[in-house]
Amino acid sequence: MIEAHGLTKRYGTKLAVDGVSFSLVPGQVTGFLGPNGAGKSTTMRMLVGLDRPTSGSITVLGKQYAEHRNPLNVVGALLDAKGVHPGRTARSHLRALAATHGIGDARVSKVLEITGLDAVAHRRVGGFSLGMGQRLGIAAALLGDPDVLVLDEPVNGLDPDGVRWVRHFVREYAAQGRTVLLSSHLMSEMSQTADHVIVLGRGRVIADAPISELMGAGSAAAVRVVSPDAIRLGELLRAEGARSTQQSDRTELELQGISAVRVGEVAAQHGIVLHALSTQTTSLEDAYLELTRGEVEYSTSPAPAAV
Amino acid sequence: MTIATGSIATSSTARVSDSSAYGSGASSVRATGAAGRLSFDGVLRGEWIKLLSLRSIRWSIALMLVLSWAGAALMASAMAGSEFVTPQSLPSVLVQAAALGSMFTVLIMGVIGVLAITSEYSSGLIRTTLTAVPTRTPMLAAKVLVVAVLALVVGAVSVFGGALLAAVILGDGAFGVLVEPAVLASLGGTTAYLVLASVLALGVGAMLRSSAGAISVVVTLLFVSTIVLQVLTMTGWEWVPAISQWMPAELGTTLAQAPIMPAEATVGVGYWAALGGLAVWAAAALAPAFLLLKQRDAV
Repeated sequence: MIEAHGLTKRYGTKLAVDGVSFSLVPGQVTGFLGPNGAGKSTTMRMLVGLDRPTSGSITVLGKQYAEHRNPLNVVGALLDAKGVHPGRTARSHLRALAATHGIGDARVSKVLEITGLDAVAHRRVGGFSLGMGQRLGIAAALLGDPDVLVLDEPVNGLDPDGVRWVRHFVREYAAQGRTVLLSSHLMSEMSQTADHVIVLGRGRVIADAPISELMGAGSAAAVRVVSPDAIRLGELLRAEGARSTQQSDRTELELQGISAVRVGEVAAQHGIVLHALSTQTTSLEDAYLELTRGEVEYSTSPAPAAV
Repeated sequence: MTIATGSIATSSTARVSDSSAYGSGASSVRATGAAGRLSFDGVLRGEWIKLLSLRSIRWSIALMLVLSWAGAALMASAMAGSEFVTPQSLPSVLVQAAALGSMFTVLIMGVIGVLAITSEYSSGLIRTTLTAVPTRTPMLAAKVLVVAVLALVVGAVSVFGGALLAAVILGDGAFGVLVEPAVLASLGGTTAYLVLASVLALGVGAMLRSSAGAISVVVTLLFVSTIVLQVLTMTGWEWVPAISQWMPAELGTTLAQAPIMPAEATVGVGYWAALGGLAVWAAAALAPAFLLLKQRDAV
């Protein structure tokens, strides 16, 4: 559906996107994850032809975005909430955009209704809250009923209701066999929305994997155990080959290299009381930090050659 | 924790309609009426909607009409009954009354031309616009047409309306003079000046992409340059009049004056040369604007 090959964008001396390749398939939500300045927005801007790649290419359905005869029906994009003139009403803004593709007023009313803006459609956008502006951007992206939805930080500024609505909405959209590309620097957002994650760091693809795989890819699952006799238990478990990764206080242990089952058995054998025993799955946040750590280190201190 | 939850609840209920007024989900998105095709007609219609849906533009138009009609009425009232108004001078008086305001209204048209494009850059709307029209050129072409048509209609109403108003005030056969070919040519010339100046301003705006910068350049070209060159005329340097007669404001004056002046009294370039000169000015601003639009990144 969307293919990027060696996509590169240089602004002056700054390499914003550095040889990025990926492909997006319909029917799933793909997340662009990365810290600010990782190249997420620049990649999205090149996707819809706002910025010209320095080299490489990015295509939608085998063609550059600008070559499509009905671009709004192919890709709907929310690039930032500010893509609106403050002096215009929400409806006028959408009508002007719809007119370019001969999309009628009925559709304008429909997207206003979908995004819950129908009550404020006659109001000038300058008075909108950040969340309302964000919803107007989503309404604009939906005008052409596009096959691909591209949303740059869509939940930015939304209230909790809005966040839940966007999550639900993009899941449903993808379930209809369409393609959704969503960016966020919030890892928690990704774990709740995306099926597949592309992690970007300093303009490069660090990881491109299904979210389940990414979450397993970090450090191995850890076992958390709380016991009044944690110090003795820790000694016994280390003898079993476990590594104690954290001992936040005298009653709590976090262990790796051992299963919760084995921890329970060892405790029972030695008559040690347990207050809690659980397996901690790696959070996406941990996996993400793990993945980007190298990038960050590389960026802050030029590593000596010996390392 | 309690405080945080409380404040979220307050903010979402305080904002009118920003609470959970969300409509249907994605399942209802597949809808009729959304399929379209990008066409120049459509882009043109979109630009019309944009231009006319701004309050600032509507105010500017109103201000422009008031200024030019007030100018015409004032001058006609001052002249009415005086010895300067003779059958021979009547065409000149009518045209001067109608064109009096144009020195200022051309600046309003210029600002409208500039803002038609720079407001898109300052608000970020350009990103949305160019996503809808990724080939870009049709967008600027449509803006040129829309601004030109608006300037033509508003310009004609202000200039011909001003002349009509002056004729009413002057009375005594002034109506007959209004339809003389020379007078019509003068009034049409002033209208053409307003149209071409607005297009020139649009081109400058598209090149510079900044409201303040483009308005400064346009005001310099249309207004300040005239004053500077007038001061320089006193030096007696020969190149000064040679240059100043081709400046936009001077060409505008020529368009207003040449048809009603006796041939021996005319200074500067002729009527058609002035029209051509203004068209060259507009084209000189537009050509690089189109090239840059195609080449540069969107913002």
